Amino acid sequence: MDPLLDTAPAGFISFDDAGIIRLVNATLATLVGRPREELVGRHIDVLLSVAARIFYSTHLFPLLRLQGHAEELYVPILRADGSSLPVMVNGVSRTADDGPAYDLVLMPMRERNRLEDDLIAARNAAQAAAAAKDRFLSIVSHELRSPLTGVAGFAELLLRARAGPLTERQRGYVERIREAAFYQVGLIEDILEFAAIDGERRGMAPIAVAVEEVVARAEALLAVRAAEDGHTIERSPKPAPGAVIADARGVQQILLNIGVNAIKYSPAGTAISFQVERVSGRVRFSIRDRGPGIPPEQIERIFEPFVRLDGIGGDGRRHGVGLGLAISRDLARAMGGELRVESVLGHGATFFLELPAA
Amino acid sequence: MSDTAIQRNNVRVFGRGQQPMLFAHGFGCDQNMWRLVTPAFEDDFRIVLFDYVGHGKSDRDAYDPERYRTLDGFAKDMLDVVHALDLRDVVLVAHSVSSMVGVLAANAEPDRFAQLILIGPSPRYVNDPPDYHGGFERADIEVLLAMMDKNYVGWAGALAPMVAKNDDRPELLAEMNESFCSTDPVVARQFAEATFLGDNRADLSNVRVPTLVLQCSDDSIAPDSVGEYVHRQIPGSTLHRLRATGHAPHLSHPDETVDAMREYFRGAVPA
Repeated sequence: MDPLLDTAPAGFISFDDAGIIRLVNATLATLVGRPREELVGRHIDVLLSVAARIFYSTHLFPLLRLQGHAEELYVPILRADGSSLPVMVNGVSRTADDGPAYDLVLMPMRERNRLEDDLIAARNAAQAAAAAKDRFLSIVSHELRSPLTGVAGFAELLLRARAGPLTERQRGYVERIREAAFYQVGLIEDILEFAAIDGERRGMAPIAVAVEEVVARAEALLAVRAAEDGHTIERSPKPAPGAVIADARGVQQILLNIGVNAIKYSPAGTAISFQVERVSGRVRFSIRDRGPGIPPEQIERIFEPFVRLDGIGGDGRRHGVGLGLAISRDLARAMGGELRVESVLGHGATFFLELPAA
Repeated sequence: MSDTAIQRNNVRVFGRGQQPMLFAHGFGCDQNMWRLVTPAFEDDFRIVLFDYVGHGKSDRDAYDPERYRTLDGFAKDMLDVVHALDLRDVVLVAHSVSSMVGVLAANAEPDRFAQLILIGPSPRYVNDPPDYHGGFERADIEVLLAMMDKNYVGWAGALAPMVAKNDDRPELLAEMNESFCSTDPVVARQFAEATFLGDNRADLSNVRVPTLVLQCSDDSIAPDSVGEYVHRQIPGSTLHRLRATGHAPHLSHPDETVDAMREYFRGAVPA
């Protein structure tokens, strides 16, 4: 054997088709704590734990035999004292005089192995936690929603005087009960929707949808809310041309989410601009408000779930749980689009929804 | 389901014979593992190769963790392929865990199968003292699963999902196509559990199809005593001990494997 191989800081081993060891270098003999003579002529199983033998037979050997090489495989090898040494294996096959031979380099990786174990444990824990969170959200939300249906329903019956006439004062109280119940149902639906998106993408069916159709419907729904607060909606062009490849309900939901936000954060009497334009293969919807704007360091955070920007205006009436924008961005991306925002503090914000053009 | 099994299970059919010879790969690999032995049978048989869902070039989107929780799901794959091509009089050549998959399939529809060639079969890998020695303790299997986790994280794990999602990166796909025995990491783990923690001993005595057990020397996955057990339990089966060592004689000693099969075919009583 080349003397360089014996001094190389990596184990080297060569074995044949039957797994019989033909060569080992001094480094490997030292690593496993056996004299070289004790290894040569033995089956490679002598270096493998029971689990590693299965891995060798089912993965490493087929790869070497069929593919001719295998890289970066983690294999715990067995030392003479019964302890296990984690190594990284790279191997190649070659044709020797008497059939195929396999040459493997083994690099001890104790520290790296520990780090990898930690990483895998952390990944598994994170996946388990995320799954548990989704399950929790989903169960809790369902449990919370059911009784609210009763609250809202019975309040409605009282208001329709099904249980006799109400005084003005009673009517006012019951109306507030009903509104509070509806409000809470809305919040829970947001949570449910988010859990559904996060856990398992909703079955969306993107098809060609006329832009004018979705824009007009969103405008009509927003107009009611805008009028209540003394806002106007400026829309152009009218009618909006073209079509997008999207899920109509999804687009609707995004436009309503950002539209309601725009109204909520704009001072009374100001206008909300709602524009549609075509930009290289995509259709861009933009909704601009005249609110206080978003601080630069918060621009990306507002799309994170459960994040709300407190203390920078807003009418204080509908405090959501901070899921609307997270849901909207997820929806946009699920349709192959994007949702982003531009804002200069003190000069309002513009949300851009881009979707593939049909 | 049967109609789609051709694409779903990446079925390949070739050869000039009439009688179908269906090859079923084992854990850790795909249909590529048969390429050293199939040429010997092309003249006399209609060779049918397939990948279980999640393996090789099967349709990974068709993977259903519930279906493949036990070997029954894999047996359904095998029967779906048999139905899709309307195979009859099938000679099944099954490696390792596929032997038990084949036993399940043949027990479900014995009329479809003419012969079972089981290479390195084991009905249960974990010891069940005092009477059954499978060769492994449960703890060994746990170590194997942890080991696979790590290898798939750095290896197939990083590549497979990327390839599946990025149709616009053909160079990744090409790399994947060139790699053999490619298996999805999630699938591999579940297959390992179904394989190494399963127990199909009770199914052996129900086999009604003529069976050849090919047993390697020094097989650390399916020891000789297990091959002997399978032979005793399957009524009328033949046990052939190979000189080949290891667990994949069709890879390490293809000629001896082919000879043993031919010898069996010559001596076998027609079904």
